[in-house]
Amino acid sequence: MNSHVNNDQSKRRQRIIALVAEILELDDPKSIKPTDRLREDLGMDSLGSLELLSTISEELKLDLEMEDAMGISTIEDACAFVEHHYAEQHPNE
Amino acid sequence: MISSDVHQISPTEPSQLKALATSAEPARPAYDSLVAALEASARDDEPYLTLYLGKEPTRITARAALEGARRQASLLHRCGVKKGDRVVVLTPTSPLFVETFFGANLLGAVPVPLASPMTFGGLGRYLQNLASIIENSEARVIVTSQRMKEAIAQEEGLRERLQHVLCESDVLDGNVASPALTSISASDSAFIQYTSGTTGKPKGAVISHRALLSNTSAIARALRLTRDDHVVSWLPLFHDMGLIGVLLTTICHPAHVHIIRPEAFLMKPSRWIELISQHKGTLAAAPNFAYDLCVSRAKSEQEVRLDSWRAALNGAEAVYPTTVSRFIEHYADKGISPEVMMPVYGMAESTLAITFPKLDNKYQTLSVDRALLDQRGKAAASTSADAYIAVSVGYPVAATSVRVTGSNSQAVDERIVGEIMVKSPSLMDGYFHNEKATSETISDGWLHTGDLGFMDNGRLFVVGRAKEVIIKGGRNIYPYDVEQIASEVSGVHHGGVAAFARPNPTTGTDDLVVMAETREKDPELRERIVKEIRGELLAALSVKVDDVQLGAVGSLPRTTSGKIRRRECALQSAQKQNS
Repeated sequence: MNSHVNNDQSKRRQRIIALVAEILELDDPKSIKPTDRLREDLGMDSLGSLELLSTISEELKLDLEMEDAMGISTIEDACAFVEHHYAEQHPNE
Repeated sequence: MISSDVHQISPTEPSQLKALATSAEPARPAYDSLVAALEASARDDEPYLTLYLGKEPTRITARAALEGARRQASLLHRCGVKKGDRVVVLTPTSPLFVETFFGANLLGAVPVPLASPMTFGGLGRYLQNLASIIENSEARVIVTSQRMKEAIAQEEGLRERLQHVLCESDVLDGNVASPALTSISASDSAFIQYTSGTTGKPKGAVISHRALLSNTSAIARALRLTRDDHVVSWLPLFHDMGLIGVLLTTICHPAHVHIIRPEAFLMKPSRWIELISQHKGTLAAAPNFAYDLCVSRAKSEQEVRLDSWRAALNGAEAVYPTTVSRFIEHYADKGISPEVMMPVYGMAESTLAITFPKLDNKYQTLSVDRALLDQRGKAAASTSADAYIAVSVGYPVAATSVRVTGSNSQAVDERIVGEIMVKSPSLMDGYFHNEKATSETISDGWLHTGDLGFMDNGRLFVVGRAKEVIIKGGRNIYPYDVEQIASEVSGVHHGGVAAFARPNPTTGTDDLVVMAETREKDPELRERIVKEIRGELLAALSVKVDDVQLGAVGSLPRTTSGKIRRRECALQSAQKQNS
C-alpha cells in the first residue's frame, strides 16, 4: 500500500520535472535539481508558470489556481504543492 | 479606395501633403460622467457582463453592476473615502473589481487599478513596486484579494501607508444607508492608470470623465457598436485595453460582454476562441502575441465556428503581417473572415484609442524599401521581396488629430518618419504628482507619444519607438529598469548594460536582449553572470530575457558623453543574427 503511494508520488514528481524541462526547452531533465528555483535558477516567466500549472491541472485532473501557487519557489515546492492538492482533491487514491 | 474626407491639405502646398490628419467627426458623448452612463444603463436594464470564472458563469446586468457599486460605495464611505480620494483596486477579474471601480466612482473617488502578481515566487519585489505606487497615489484604501491582504499585512511599509485593506469578505452587515452621492462633473478624475516602469517616479495617467467618455464614444462609433454585439475578452481589467476598451465602453454604449481571466487564456488560449464560437462573438481584441499563441497552442481545440467575428482588434504592440496571415490561415476552415484583423493604435495617455481603421477596409499594408526607411526615414514604395511590410493602424478616431513631426515639432511631409503627436479631448490631464514627466509628455496640448511613424493618405503607420520602450507580449518594459537591475549583478561592469528589443516573427512579439560588459574571463563565472541577470530580471520585473550577451568592458557603443547607444546596439545585434 505504502510503496504503491510512493510510487505514484514519484511518477508525478518525474512528470513535473519533465514538464518543466519541456516548457523551458532544456535538453536534459536530469540537469534539474530539486532545490533549483523555477524563476531565479531556471528562468521560468509568468507564461511558463501558467503553462506548467495548466498542464499539471489537466493531466492530473486537479483544480489549481495561480493565486495559490504564488508561494512556489523551487521544484521541491512545486512537487509538494501538487501532492497537497492531489491528496485534497483525490482523497481515495 | 481610401477616403480623403478626413485629410487636411494645406491650400498653399497643393502638391506636398503634410503628415497631419484630423477626424471630421466631433466627439458627442451622451453623458457627462461615467456615473451618469452607469445610471442610464441600469435604468434601461441593459445587458452587460458575463464572467466565466468558476463552473457557472456569473451574469451582471447594468442594473446589478450599479447595485453592487452602491454596496461598495457604502463600504468605502464607511472607511472614510471622500470625493477625489484614490482607491487602489487590486483584484483579479471578478465582480469585486467591477463593483469597486464603479463604487469608487459613485463617491467621486478615483480608482487606481493595478496588476496582481502572476508568477511563482518574487512577491517581495512586487510589494516594493506596489508600495512606490501607493506612495505616489497617496491612496489610503485598497480593495484586494484575501491572499494579497495577508501579504500586505506582512509588509511594514505598506501596512503603515494603508488605513484600510479590504477584500471580498469585508461586507457591510444589514441594510446600510447609501452615502449621499456628490455631483460629478466632466472635469473630475475618473481613474488613474499607472504606466511607468519600476525605477524612478511612478507615472499615473489621470483620466477625467470627459476624456473617458470622449474616448469610449469614439471607440463605439468606430466599431459601430450596438446592443446586438457580443464582445469576447480575456484582457486584464486593470490595463487600458480591457478596462476602457471592454469594461467601460460597453457601460456607456451597451453590448453583451463575455469575459474570462487572462490566466485562463494564457493557460489555454483555445478557451477564448471557443467562447467566441459559443456566443457568436462579433468583437474581440488582443495584443499581437495572443493571435500567435492561439495558433501555436491550439492542439486541444474543440470544433469552432468563427463566422460571427467581425473585427479582431490587434493593438498594444507591433502588428506582424506574418502573425496575421498565420492566424487567418489557421482558422480559414472555421469560417473566419479573411478581413477580420483590425490593427489599432492607442495608449493610456490618450485614455486608449488614437487611430482605428475603417470597418470596411480594416487591414491595409504598404511595402516600403527597408534601407531607405532605416537610414533615411523615408517610406518609399518597394516591390522587392525583402521589402518592409508596414501595417496601417488607420485614421484618427472621432475628435482626434494626429500629426507626425520632425525635430522642430513641425509636421513633416507624408511618408516621412517622425514622432507621432496626438491632440484630443481624450488626452490625460497629466501624470499624478509628477509635473516633470507631464511637461515632458504634453506641450501646447499635443501628446508626444514617443512612437515613430509616418502617414500615407491620412492613414497612420507605426514603425518604431523614439523612447526605446520595449513591448513584449503587450507589456511595456523600460530599458532603463532592465539596465539598472542587470548592472547590480556582481561581475557586471557598472553602467555597462544595454537593453533593447529585437523583433521575433516566430513568437509575434519582441525579444528582450541584454548586452552586458564584464571583466570576467572564466567561462563558469561568465555563465553564472548570465544566469543571475536572467534571475534578477525575472524576480524584479517578472520579465524573461530572451538573449543575454556578454562583452568586454568598453565594447558597447557610447555617445561622446558616455551614454550607451541602445539603437546602435540593437542594429549590431540584428546584423549579427542575420549574418
